[in-house]
Amino acid sequence: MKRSSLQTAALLLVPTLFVACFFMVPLIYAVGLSFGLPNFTAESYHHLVDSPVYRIVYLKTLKVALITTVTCLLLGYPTAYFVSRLHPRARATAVMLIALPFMLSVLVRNYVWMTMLQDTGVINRLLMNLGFTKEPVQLMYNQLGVTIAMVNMLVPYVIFPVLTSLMAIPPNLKVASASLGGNRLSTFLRVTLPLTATGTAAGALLTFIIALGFYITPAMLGGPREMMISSLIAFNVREVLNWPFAFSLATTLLGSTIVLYLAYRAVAPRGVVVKPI
Amino acid sequence: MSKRLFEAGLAVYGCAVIAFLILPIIVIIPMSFNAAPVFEVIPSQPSFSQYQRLFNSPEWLTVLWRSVEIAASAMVTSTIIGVLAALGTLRLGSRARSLFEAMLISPQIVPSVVIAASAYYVFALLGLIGSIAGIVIMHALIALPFVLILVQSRLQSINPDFAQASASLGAAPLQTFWLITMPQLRLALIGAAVLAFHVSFDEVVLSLFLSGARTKTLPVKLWDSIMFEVSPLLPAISALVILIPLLVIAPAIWLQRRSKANT
Repeated sequence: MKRSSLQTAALLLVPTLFVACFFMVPLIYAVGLSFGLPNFTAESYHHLVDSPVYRIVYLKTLKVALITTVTCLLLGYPTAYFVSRLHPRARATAVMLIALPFMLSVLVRNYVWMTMLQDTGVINRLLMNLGFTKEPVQLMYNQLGVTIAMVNMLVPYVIFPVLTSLMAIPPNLKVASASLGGNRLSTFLRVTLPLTATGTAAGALLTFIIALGFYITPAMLGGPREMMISSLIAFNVREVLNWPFAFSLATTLLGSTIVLYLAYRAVAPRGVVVKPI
Repeated sequence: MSKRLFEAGLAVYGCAVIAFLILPIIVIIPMSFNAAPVFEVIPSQPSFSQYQRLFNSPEWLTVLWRSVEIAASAMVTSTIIGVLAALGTLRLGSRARSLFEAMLISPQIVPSVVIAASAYYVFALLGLIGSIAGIVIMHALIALPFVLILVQSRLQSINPDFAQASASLGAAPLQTFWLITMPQLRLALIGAAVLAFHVSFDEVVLSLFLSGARTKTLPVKLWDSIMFEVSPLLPAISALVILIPLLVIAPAIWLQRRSKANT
């Protein structure tokens, strides 16, 4: 027994040291610095609350993340429903297609959206050729462009948990509901929807968590007016070197991520793989 | 009637969403073979000129090779650490196990910018800003959760009787690991390693913070050229960025096939 626990400790020593040294300690140190380590002061947080600029950035971040999550649900749930009822072969192909964009670099996906949404991009050319508009429509350097690209990258995070929960429903439950006189709508509302509620909640929370931390997309498709919290952290670190303030922003983002993640863990199946964006 | 209408509507909607998701891939490939710098469904000036210019540019090739080296180092580091962690955590009791797992998986949950900002500060104190080692370490860190999850789930599905039989026949733990566990783990290991390579090769935010002028990775250079210059080479580079992780995976699959054919 004693020897076995010694072996376990030996196995975990390197991974623990690695994550502690390069992740935990810097993070805790950053949180400490935001409170004015070695003293205690909440000055940078006062600064954060008092300044209207930062309030605007926070609200904008929440708004974009919320709109993205709702859109992803509206696109993702019916798609997962569609995929779940396909023939197994076709379903495997559909799943592969949905996962395929993960192979494509995050930067490249954003770049493609830039080329498509710009004034001379394919969408504007199409709109003008079809006579819908004479002037190009402003599709990027605004919230619309950021949201389109974010939705494009985040829909799979809704589809996969919902699909998993849809596939877990025993098919005879639907038969039972039908035989008891339930029509398709009532079967969906009273059997399918409740049984996929946790999967849907997991997908929505995951999407929201990732959306809150987005940095690349707002920087590329949003321009300077569409700053999100991440852009503000990067700006304070890389441009003005205002550490306490950067870290107080980082701490609030970290805090909300942890809270949301705990909620996610409460509903989600274990071991979902998230690609960092 | 309404049932068929519903089915058709659902199918159209589902296919449209899937098409929207894979749109970037559909768009980038024809763009990379077009000398005209805009997207056209059929390239108006089809050519390999972008690829020719790319392979004649020492600047891009240096950065490309550096990224491959960094990704390979991060892959090896995170795979070794991830396997140790997976073996270790599965031996723990359920409470200690979920605690360790939470710690090891957390780099995946914390937003990249937050990790990058805190690492930047500590790395600045240690003089690691702009060093290749610093980038490799952080890439290995964010690839670790993927390796851990994949290897752990494979380990759990392996029948423990084999390892017990091996131990009872007098094999040392390390011998059992190499001769019994490792061969059963191979496919998961390959998958984890490829994923780790991809995570590092594609990583932007941490590299953007931690690299210096002489240690730019491919995504950082891509970022620079997207944000600060108009370079029609981008589609070709993007297409390569898809291709390279596939080139890494191909020999692995070939090896796997061959070893299966032998047994």
